[in-house]
Amino acid sequence: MSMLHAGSEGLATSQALMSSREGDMPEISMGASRVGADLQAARDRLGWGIADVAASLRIRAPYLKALEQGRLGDLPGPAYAVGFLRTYATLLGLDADEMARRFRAEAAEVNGKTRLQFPSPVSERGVPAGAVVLLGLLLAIGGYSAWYRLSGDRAGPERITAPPERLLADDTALPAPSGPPPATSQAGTAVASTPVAGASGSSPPDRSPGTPAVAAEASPGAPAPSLPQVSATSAAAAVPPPAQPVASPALPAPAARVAEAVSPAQLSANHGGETVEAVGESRITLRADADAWVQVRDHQGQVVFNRVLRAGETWRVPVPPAGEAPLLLTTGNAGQTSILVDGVPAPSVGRTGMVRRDLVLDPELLRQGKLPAQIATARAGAHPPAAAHP
Amino acid sequence: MFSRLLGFMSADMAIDLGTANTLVYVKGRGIVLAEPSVVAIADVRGKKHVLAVGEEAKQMLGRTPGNISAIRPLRDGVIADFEVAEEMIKHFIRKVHNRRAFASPLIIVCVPSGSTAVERRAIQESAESAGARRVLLIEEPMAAAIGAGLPVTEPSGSMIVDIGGGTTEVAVISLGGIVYARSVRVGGDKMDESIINYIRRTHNLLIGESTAERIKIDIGAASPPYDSDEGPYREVKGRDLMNGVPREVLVSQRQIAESLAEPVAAIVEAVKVALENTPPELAADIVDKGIVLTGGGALLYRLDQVLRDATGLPVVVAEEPLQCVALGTGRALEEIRRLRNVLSTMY
Repeated sequence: MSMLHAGSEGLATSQALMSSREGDMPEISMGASRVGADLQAARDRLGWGIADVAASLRIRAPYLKALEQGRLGDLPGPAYAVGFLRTYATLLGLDADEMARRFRAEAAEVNGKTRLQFPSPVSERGVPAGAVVLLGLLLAIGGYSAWYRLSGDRAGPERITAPPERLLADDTALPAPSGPPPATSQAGTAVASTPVAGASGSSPPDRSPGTPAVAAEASPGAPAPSLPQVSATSAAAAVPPPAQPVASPALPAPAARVAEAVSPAQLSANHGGETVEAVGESRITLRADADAWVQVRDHQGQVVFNRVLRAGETWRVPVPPAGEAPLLLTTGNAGQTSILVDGVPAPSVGRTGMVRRDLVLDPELLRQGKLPAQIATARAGAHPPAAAHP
Repeated sequence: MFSRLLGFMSADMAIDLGTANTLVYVKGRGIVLAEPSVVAIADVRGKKHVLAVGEEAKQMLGRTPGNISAIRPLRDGVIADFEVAEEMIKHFIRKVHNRRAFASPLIIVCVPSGSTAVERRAIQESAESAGARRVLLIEEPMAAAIGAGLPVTEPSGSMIVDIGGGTTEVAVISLGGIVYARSVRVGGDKMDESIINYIRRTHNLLIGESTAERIKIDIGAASPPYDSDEGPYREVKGRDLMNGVPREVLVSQRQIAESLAEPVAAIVEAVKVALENTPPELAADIVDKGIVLTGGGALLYRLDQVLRDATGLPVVVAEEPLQCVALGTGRALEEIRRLRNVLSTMY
């Protein structure tokens, strides 16, 4: 009975100690094995040996000693340490919960969570996934850049020998951006300068079929900037009455329309930059005054040329091999497709927007205007009102 | 994509779906809910409505009029009433999410190690139809061992005995896996039943489950007190079987311990069988470290002593034995990447 009394007294003092320690924390480290000491004291009071306790609780004596001496490293783990402590404290008649609480407060490592590191098999793949992904990414980037480079040549802007004049013309046209009056005033200069422009190239009739190409290449690169300027102003000036403001002289459509009235040399100077295909010894050149679909076939029906000619573009019609019939032209915009024979515009083959098929591209016939005439009569027969209209 | 969006709006949960109690652990918040697994269903003109879930429903257990039935949807650790279990999980999900709509959490549920594939599928499906985005299962002894803080991933054997309401799980765990597991359908419920039967036999008094459980918690013991002491007494009220009137008798701890002898023996037997089947190296580890008890049954007075005497091994009760499984399941939820080895799914 007295022993029990002493035990409860010991508990009381330990609790008093506890409450005093709660006030100032630094004391805790000093009492690192206070719980162990309490256990030992309680066991001594009861007069039990470690071996007795071990036999009763089946907890191995070294573990009990480790608990009493505060050697946590010798215990199998935090969960077991706390479990042993509780069992031991209960046996000794101490408050197990209180002892466990104090034990946790004293031994910080007990509070940590058990480290759970599951054994994982070594990866069987030789190449790590990261490397595969990186390689794939590099391949994709390389493939894309190669494609970009290769397709870049095709999709890039067309290479031209020199800037087309209508672009240069912007500079001169800009000072007079609005209103017809400046346009009319410039008309004079344009008219005056026409001979100059004409002089720049050789006179139309004398020219050999190959010259336009030469002129086309030479004139944009001509040293005197005045020439392009002149042609540009003339283009601006000759805009059909007030329909188009001068502010847009560079627009291909008016420029092209003007060109009919100007000398062929100037024409080639104006639009030569856009020559699509140059085949030597040709006398016929197609020129689109507005966007026009043009198809040229030979007599076997083989398509020689088939595309939309942009406004201002010209195409030199190749000469068919000797002894073969002339090529046939089909145009989707007869009025805006000018046929130049030796640089001289042949009579128009139809109205704007009219589709003409299988026009025989024979220089002599074209020059004489026979073909259009024939067709015009044919058409007049077919559609009298339409023929009467123009 | 949509489910990810829903997942963003809901808190992932770990549920210890126990026969007696259901504990819910919410990611980042810990155990937020611990309620008895009881659902009270009211029958309103042929349609069933959930009247109460948890503690409130438990109060109704055995006290219901004809149109209300208080049901425990789990028996022996597995789902006995699928629809009611689903309603209960749904209720817990809603309670955790404060009745927010569109809650579609990831749920980890623990299943007894001895449960069949059909029983696991039933648990998974009821959680899914309760609104879970994804359901993962964890075996109860593994969850209990993780929750008790045992070094389960170390190459050293740990033995865990989880005595729940419906089942007792005995498992030896090493290297993050279960080496041997044995599940017996003996637990708190069987103990209550034993008490009811004992009192009916010896006192001709019929008592309810709740009363039996209260007696077990108050004066239940795994072994009778020493020195022919009767131990503390409790009065038990019930209906006299002889004349049908309510009556009150006094029962002692010795009597209750006597009545619990059978389920306790079953638990001891399960532990012994598990030890017999443990590989020798792991058995050597267990001799050193002993057996850890978790679950509500671990709180039965002197159960550790009985097991200690029966096995000759150190037996310790884990801290917070009632929460071990929920804590372990919760830890699997928190460290889902690292602990994915212990999670499974039926699909």
